[in-house]
Amino acid sequence: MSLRDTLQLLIGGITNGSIYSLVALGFHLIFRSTGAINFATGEQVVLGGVLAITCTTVFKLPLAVAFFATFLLAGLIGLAYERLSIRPVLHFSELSIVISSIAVSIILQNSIALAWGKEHIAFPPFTRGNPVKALGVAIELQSFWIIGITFGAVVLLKLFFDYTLFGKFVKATVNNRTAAKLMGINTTRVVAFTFALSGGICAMAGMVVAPITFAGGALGTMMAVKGFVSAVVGGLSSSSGVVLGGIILGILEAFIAGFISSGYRDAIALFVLLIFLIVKPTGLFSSNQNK
Amino acid sequence: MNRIQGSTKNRLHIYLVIGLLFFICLFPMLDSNRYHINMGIMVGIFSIVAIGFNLLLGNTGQISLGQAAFYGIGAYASAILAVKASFSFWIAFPCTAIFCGLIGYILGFTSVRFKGSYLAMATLSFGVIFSIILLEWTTVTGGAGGYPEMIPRPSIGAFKIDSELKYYYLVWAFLAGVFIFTRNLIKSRIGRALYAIQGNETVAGIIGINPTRYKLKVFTLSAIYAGMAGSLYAHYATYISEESFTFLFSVTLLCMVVIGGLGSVWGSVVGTAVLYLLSEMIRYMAKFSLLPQAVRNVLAEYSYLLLAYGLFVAIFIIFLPRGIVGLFREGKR
Repeated sequence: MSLRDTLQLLIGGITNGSIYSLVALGFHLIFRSTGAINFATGEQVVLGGVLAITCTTVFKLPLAVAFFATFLLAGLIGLAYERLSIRPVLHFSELSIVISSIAVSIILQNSIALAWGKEHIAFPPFTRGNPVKALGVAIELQSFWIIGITFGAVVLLKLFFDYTLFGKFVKATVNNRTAAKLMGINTTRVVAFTFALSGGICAMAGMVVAPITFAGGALGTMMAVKGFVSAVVGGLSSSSGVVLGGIILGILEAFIAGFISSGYRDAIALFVLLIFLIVKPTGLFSSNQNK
Repeated sequence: MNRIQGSTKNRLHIYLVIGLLFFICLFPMLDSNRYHINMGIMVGIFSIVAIGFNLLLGNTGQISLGQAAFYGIGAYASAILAVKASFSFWIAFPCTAIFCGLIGYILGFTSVRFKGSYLAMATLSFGVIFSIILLEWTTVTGGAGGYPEMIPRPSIGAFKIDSELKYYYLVWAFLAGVFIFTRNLIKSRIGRALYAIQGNETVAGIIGINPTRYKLKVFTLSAIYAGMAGSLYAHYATYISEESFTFLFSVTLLCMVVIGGLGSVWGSVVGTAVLYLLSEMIRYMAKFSLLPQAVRNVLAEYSYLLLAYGLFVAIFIIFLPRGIVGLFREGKR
């Protein structure tokens, strides 16, 4: 294998990995605020893709406007999701939250199938044009968008959590809900907010991935699996960890698929998951208290 | 077993249960419609999976979203043993159950140590990967076209279990065995340990119950049940394909158990029967010519049914966490 092939695989891996990172961030936020895994995450990713398609084709919005409109809409849906199905069971047990989120995932998946059909829907790349050639490696323009948007989102989130008051509320709540509550933070609102934010981030992942994998169909389940594996690799409780976990999984997948066989490409994530669960269940970058 | 307290409500339960048992035993004799007996067989097979799944979810607080994979492994393993190694059903069946238990043990070993969500995600991934393997490994599984050869129906000596009626009794005999075994398990020391684990794992650990070991045992047992059901299904249907073992089946199972009643063996059977018969009824009504075409189109669309399942589960988990069976058990745990 030449250096060129290696680079080509590396870039493909980072592109896919960036998407996994976004999904993993969605898992991370809700895990930190409720202690449960949100099983509707994959469907929220698909929702982002199909909403963006409707915004651009039916309402003829410019891409940038459609992007933000979708982000907001998905955030609102996340809010409604939390209010209707999570808040009523929040104090039951983790199990109830998980079952409730599975119920929502079924509802979302089938609503999407009914509204947009079961077939894959194509979505044009954000910018048209030939792949950029550098060092003999061809890079699709969409790759730049995916990596750039992920990077931007991570930086913005970091700024939000570190420099705004509400961001600090969220940080305090995810660190210790009881203590945050005692300090006068409205934790109910914070939980609602994490669902909105997570919904928005997942939708973003759905939008950037739509041009390369299409939207709809079985994309949701696969995205949920990949995002979760990324989160486990990085350490579910660390925000920078899950982002790195996504990139690592993306690169691993690209190289293993490149060297061995691409038919079993999607099976790689499971083996990575099992290895991590056995060897290092806390993930590579997990920290217990601070993030 | 429960002591009978003599209240009218309890007596009503006993009549209800006896009536149900009579119905289950006699219905295929009275109703010779093959389609109806087929439904009875499928309810029986699904109930076996559901009982194991409910033991895991309702009594241990662990979610598995890969139950379809164990069910599928059971079906394919049994098919391969019967066709390739020409094992009889009576040898293929226990081999399959043990094989599924082994895989369940290995998978569970990696993930039951963690909180509920981890196992759920690990098993979800396992289910997805299993589907991929079924489709890709065509030399063994036949790929998307399904298993290429016909799987034989079982027989006892010269007595062939070849009709739906006979198979119905075979399935329900197995179900009865699983039912009684599980019920006794829940009422035994193990069941009480599981109850303690579900209540508070730390406390359970302190009083000398090893949560991981019990969770792993139950997970393995649920995999064995699923494998048994898969084997029964393969030998009944005589043809199997990937479509029966997708993630959708795992999700439907969750709906059945939540709607029937978490932590109750009866709940598993009731939930399975209610949801299965509901979906069959809707399929039947979709062909009913008296209904307007628009209504029939809605009924024929599977997504609406699943949407309804999702809504049911959300409503039950919020308002009726003990399911349909819970309605009849006011006050009891």
